[in-house]
Amino acid sequence: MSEITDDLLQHGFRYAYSLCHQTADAEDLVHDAWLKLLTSNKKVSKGLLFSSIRNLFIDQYRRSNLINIDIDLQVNELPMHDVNDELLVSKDALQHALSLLRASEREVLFLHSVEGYTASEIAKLTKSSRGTVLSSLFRSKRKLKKILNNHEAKPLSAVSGERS
Amino acid sequence: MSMMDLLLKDFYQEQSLSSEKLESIKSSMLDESKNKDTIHQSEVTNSRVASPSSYQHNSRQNMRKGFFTLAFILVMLIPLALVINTGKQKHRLINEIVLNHQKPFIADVVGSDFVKIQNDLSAVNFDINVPVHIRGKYHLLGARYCSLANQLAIQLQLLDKKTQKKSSLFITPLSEEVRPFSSSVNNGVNYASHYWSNQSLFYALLSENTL
Repeated sequence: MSEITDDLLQHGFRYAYSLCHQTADAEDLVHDAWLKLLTSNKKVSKGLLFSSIRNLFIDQYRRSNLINIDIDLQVNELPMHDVNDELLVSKDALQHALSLLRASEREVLFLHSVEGYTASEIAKLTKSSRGTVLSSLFRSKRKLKKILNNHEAKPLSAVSGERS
Repeated sequence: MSMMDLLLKDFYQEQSLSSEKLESIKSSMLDESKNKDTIHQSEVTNSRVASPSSYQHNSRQNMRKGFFTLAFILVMLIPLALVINTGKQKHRLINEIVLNHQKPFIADVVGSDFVKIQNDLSAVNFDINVPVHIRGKYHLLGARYCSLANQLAIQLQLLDKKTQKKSSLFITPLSEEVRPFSSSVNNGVNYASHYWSNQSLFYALLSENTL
């Protein structure tokens, strides 16, 4: 039972992390969502936990602008290198590239690539249409690849300097 | 699975709650011990199916709400439908009475004696009982067989003693078709109709308006 709970909480944390891309914020999100579910008389499931985390994240964003989900890099203006799936990228590069994506873009990538959700399942969770999810998934992947290519073209130190 | 998916998967798999934070969350869970029984192992373990399950739960709730709303609307609509249907039936009955009244009156029995006419109209299987107040107010001109609400009826042509206006009194057995109108009055532009009944007969008196 304890292992199951741990596993569920870790899944919830990763989902929260995909949304806010900050460890501390993600920890708080999953903690708050977990407590919220426990105080309600609902059966705890991964879907419900994800849904609760998502609602809390949106609520927090509405209350303050601490969570920036509207960062939108003008990807089309970046030089396009050959996008190759075999490209090896460092963890830092991926971390940085993901930080440049919007929360909704990270979310759809996480749910699809990590959790293995189908477009229909993502559509249910995000309350959007399957077509919207598919196009968002395509655009997010393309954007991430472009950022990674652009990042690889720059020295890592230069990228780190931009972030700070 | 593409390299991009693998990269993302590896990246996110490396992210995890610290053991301290995990314990912190779990200890808060113990505080909420009253709700511990709501955690169902079967739902938690089924990781992929678990995601839509909560939505299925929600959709079941929505379906239940929708069902009750629909049932409530239907229950509210039934009396309305009955009222509308009764209104239509009454409209049909009035039309039938007016049409019978307007038809050229070819009497099956001619006479002014109510008792004699009652005896002469032997084809009907009910006793024609003309109310006393009708006998006092009207002269009888004649009578004929007709139909009303899909059953055999008698039409008496009457002449108002005061206004000299023609009226028609329809008498037919009291049936379910006419029972709902057995105590009502309808005032139209050209005609006024009055309906009543006794234990076995239904009466409809149609009078031409004096205006």
